Amino acid sequence: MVQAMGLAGAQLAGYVNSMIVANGAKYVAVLNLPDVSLSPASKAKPAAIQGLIHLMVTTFNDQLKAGLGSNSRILQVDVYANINDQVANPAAYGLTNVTGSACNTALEVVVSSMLCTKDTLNTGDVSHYLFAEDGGHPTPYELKLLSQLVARDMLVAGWL
Amino acid sequence: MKTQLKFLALATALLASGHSYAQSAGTWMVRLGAATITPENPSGNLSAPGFTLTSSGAAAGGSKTYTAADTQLGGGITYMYTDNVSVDLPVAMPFRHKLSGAGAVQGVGEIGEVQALPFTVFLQYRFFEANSTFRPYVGLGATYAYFFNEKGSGTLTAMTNPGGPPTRLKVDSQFALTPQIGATFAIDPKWFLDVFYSKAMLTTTTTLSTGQKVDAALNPESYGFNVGYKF
Repeated sequence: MVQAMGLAGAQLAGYVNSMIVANGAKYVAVLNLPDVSLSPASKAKPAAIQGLIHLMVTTFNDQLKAGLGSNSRILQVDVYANINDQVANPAAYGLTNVTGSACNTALEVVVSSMLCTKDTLNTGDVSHYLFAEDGGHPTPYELKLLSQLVARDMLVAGWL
Repeated sequence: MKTQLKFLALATALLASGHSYAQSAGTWMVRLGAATITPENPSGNLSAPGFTLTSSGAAAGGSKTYTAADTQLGGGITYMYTDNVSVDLPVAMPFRHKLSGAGAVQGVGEIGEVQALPFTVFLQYRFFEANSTFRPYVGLGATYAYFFNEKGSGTLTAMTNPGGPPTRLKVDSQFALTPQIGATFAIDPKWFLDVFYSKAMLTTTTTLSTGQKVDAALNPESYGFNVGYKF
């Protein structure tokens, strides 16, 4: 599984290079994977499983990074490092919860955050949660943080 | 230019009363030159949500602001209350300070600008004799720093509210205590050169329309070089 993730990372980098950049794209922002082992679903698993998930993510990211290399047309946004930092310093990002899910996944209709609505949220103010559901999908607030991150990196790169 | 015209009007009015050449009690002095304001940098951290890592992944504490220095036409009016004690009123054109990203948002470029008009009244003590060629002085001023015409850039919006309405900003105007040192050199009985350095103990808060705040100990240093005339 770890090997397959590494292969997937390398293949994604290859697609970006051969299908996007090679065809003339000048500004390609590539986001790496967040550490899914921090998701509520992963946290509920034994430590060995969490470690395996973590290794799968880092192997994918390492291969992606190596495959993309250094190219002024490609901006690698380190979502992995930034979400790790959000989990370590939630207050700095305005996050109130970085462990639980905003959606009430005990409800049968909520198998994924895609089916989660304002009527299927957990009680209390979940507006500043990191995770929408146990699998680790982000909340609208977290998506806004990610968009700000990408915008910041594009500004620093001189793309905006 | 209005300020300059006011100087000329004042100069004309005071020429009529001209008497003593020295900086003695009752002497009026006007001066014109350049003044530079250099704030301390960077600011504190922007309140959440900010960034704590730079784009290259280094820990930077938070999103900060860098306030650039500005130089403007400046000058002032001084009245010698005694041979040694004077009251001084500096005047200057509004300063325009560019704001750019620092800390975790280092490198994003200009995030906005603010104009500043500091109003200060100094009480000064001038050393040596009234007719000395060289007279150093020390002063203590009360400053009201008026900030206006704040503008946020698209860069600020991209980082604080991407896809949403433009982010505006408001810088609080503040009172501050301003110690000063300076000196005058008499060129001839009427004309003199004046240099000064002052530092205002100024802390202010900037509020974004997103509700985020950033505190900055600006403690702006001012220095200037002027040519002055005695009446």
